[in-house]
Amino acid sequence: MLEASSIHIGYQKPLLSETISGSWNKGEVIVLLGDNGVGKSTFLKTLAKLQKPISGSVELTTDKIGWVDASISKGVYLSVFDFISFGISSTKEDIDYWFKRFEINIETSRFVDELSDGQFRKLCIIRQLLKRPEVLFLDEPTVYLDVKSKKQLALIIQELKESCLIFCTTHDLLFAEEIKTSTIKF
Amino acid sequence: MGTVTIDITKGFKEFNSVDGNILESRLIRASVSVLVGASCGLAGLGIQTLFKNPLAGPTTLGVNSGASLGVGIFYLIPGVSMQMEWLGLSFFAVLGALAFLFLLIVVAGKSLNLTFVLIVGLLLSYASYAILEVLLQLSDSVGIKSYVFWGMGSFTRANVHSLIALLLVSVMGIVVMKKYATWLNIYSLGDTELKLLTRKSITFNKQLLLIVFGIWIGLITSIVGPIAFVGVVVPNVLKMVIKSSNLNTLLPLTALLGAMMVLLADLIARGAIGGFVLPVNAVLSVLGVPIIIYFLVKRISGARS
Repeated sequence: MLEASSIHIGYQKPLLSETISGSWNKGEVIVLLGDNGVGKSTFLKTLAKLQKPISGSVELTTDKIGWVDASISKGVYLSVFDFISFGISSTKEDIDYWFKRFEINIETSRFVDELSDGQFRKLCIIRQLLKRPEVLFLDEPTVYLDVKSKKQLALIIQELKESCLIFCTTHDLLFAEEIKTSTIKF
Repeated sequence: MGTVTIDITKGFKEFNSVDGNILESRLIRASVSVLVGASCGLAGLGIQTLFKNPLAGPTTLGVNSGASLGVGIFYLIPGVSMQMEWLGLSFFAVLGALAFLFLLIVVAGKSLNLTFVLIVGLLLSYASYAILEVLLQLSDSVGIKSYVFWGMGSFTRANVHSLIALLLVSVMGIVVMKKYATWLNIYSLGDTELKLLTRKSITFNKQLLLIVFGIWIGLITSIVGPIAFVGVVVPNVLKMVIKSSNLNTLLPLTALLGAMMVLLADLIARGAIGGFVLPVNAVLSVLGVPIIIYFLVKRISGARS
């Protein structure tokens, strides 16, 4: 469902000297490992078609894409409900279910910028899961999460991979061990 | 100027009588107040969403300064305001607003980087003030007086023509905002989310919305002067009260509250309460500033850094 044909990633000039090719499908959890600044996030952006590759092409057969990173905006007047409902049709059952799974107990009328970083990170993940994605990109999803929440996230990824292709960058090797079906080293 | 008692039924029956004329001018003025209030609120809401800044407004974009410069040229250069005063004034203000908006888009480039736009808008404002200072030095006292009175905000120039123009532009603005409400909602979450969910050109939509807001604000400014302060107060208060930034909910509420606020301010300004005639801007500031300070302080102190 996702195929990359000899892509060169980068902005004006390539980040890596060699090209990347690959074909991935549902059921896979691909963990990307590597130092800061080697191009893990850029690779994910290219796969999600958020950024064009310098050369080569990306084939993506679905537009149901989930994306978790630190770029999402908290706004000044965004409520928790705004945050998990703008642009997606999420039912109350779904919202309650994921809130329970991530053990967050907050009023949906609260403003998002009143939450702690950990709570906000969980909310970001929940928003993407409410989209019922077929491809899920997680760019360092464990940042700010406590030990218990990390375990919970690993469990959810295991369940989710039946219906979803998952890419994940992380520097947490234990977490990587728990979720991966394969690894790409940068 | 001043208070006069009229017979409303007589005014309706005999439209050419004195009572009829006063009734007509009052009705037009009230309608213009309502439209201006709703429009200021909505355009303010739109610009704040677009710039992701709760204090952004026509002033930030430099659109007000463009309109002011247009009006300045109209009043302060001798001979320009010879005939057709109101038509000439609107024309100059809208032209000024659009010229500045066009400059903004040209200078700030294709990407419309918002920080850059804000800086350019501010610089354009300074340039306009500089030119206006020079014009004020060179102008005669009649021109200066007209310009200063315009700057205080007033509904005395409102007539059927301005009402119709305002109605048309407001309808256009409301239709566009309604159509883009969901897009703007997602936009407030950031560009990544927008690209994932809509896959449409963000730059084109931003430019389109900026132009619509520019025309809207230019026209309002030309008719009643720079009273865009409403555009900052109303959306902030509403978002705080309903605890949401959902534009689909905010659009009707903003229009309603904006209309009420300006209608009330005009009522006070033209002496219906207390018997004094005051500039609308002064009344709006007295009403608005405490409210906005209260809400902003409450909101900002509630957030984690």
